[in-house]
Amino acid sequence: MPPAMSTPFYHPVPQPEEIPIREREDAMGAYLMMFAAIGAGLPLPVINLIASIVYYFINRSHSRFVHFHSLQAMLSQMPTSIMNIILVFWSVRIFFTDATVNDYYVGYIWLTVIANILYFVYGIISAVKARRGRMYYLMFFGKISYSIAFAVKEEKTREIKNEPPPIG
Amino acid sequence: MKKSILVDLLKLSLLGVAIFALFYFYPIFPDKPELDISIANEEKLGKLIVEDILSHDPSFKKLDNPALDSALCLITSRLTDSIGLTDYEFHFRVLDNPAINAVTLPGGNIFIFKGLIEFSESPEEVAAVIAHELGHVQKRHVVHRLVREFGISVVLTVLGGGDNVMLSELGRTALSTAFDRDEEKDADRFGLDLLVKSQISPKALAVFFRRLSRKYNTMEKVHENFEFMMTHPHNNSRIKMAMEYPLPAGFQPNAFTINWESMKNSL
Repeated sequence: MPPAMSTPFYHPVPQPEEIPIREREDAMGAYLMMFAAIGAGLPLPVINLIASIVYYFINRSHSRFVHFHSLQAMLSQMPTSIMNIILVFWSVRIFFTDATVNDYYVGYIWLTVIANILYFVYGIISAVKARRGRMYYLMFFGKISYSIAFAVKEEKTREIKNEPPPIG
Repeated sequence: MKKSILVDLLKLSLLGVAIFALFYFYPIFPDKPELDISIANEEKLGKLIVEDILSHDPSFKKLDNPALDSALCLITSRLTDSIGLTDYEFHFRVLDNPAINAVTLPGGNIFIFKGLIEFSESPEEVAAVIAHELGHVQKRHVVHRLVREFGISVVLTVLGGGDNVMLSELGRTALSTAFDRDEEKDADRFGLDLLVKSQISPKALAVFFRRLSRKYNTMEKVHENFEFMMTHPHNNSRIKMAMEYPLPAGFQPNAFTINWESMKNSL
C-alpha cells in the first residue's frame, strides 16, 4: 500500500545480523572521525564541523544504517562545535581587548565544558553501538536522524530518456 | 514524531539553560587576580604611585585653595559617610590641570582635575562624578587593571621598592588606560546607589553628562583635550540610566550649602 501523504512512513530498521561489517565500520567511523578532526580543528573548531559534513555527504548513500549514524554524528556535534567557536572568539576578545572575565563568561565556559564531555562520552557509546550493528538514538538528534534517514520518500517517477539530437 | 522531537529539543534547551544558570549564579573559577593583593598592599602601592606622580609630573600639581578644599570636604564627607563598611581610607586631591577629568588610583586615591570643577555647575554634579570614582575604588578596578597589564610579580616588585621606572609606568597606566564597559557600568551603578544614599539626586550625573556631550560633540575634540569623555564611553546609555534610576519612596534631595559660583571664581 502506498504511504498516505499525511502519515509519515518509515523503512524498517535493520537488525544487527543484517548489517554487513563494512557498513558497521562506516557508521562507527562517523563518530570516531569527529575526535580525530578535533585535533585538526584546534584552535578553530569549525574544521571538524566541515569534516563531519563532508563525511555525511560521502557516506549517506551507502545504506540507511550508515546514513542514520553519519547524520546523527554530524547533527550531534553541531551545537558543541558552535559553542566552542563562540568560546574561542569570546576568549580572544578577553585576551586582546579590554573585555573582562565576567559571570556570563564563567557560566558559558562551564556550559561548553559539560557539553563537550557529554558529546565525547555519547560519541564513544554511539561509535561502539554502531560497530555492533545497533541503532542508538541520542536524545533529539537520534529522532531527527531517524526521521530523515528512514523516511519513505516518494519514488521519482520521471524517467530520464536519452534522445537523438534535434534536427533542423 | 515531530512532537517528540520538539519535546526533546525543549528538554535539551532547558538542560543547557540550567547548567548555564547554575554556573552563572555560583561561578566556580579561580580567584580574581586583584584579590592576590591585600588592601594594605594596595594602599601602599597607591601611596607610592601618588607620590611619584605629584613629584615628577608637572601637569599633576596639587591645587591649594581653601574655599575649594572646604567645599570638597563637604561633598566627599557626605559621600564617604553613606558608603557604609569599607576597607579604604579615601584621599581626594584637586590637581591644577584644565582637563575635565577625575581619576582613580590604587588604595582609595582619587584625583579631581580643576577643569572638572570649573565645568560643573553645581556641587551635586561633582558629587556624582566622585561617587562614580568611588565605585571604581570599592570594586578594586584599578588594581585589577594593573595586575592584568603587568602581572602580579611586577606589582609586588614595585611594592618592595627600588624599581622607580616600573613605578612610574604603573602610575602612567593607572592614569591613562580606560576601564572596560562592564567596569564602567559597575561603577555607575555603585555611584548612583551612593548618590541616593547620600540624599543627592542621581539626575546630577545625567545633567553633567548631557552638558559634556553637548559641549564636545565631536570625537576629535574629545580625543585631543578631554580624557573624561574618552575614557567614559556610551554616554547616552549612561544618561538614560541616571535619568531612569528608581528613587525610593519619599526621596528628598538635600542640597549642599555651598556657594558654588563664588568658590569657582576663587580658583
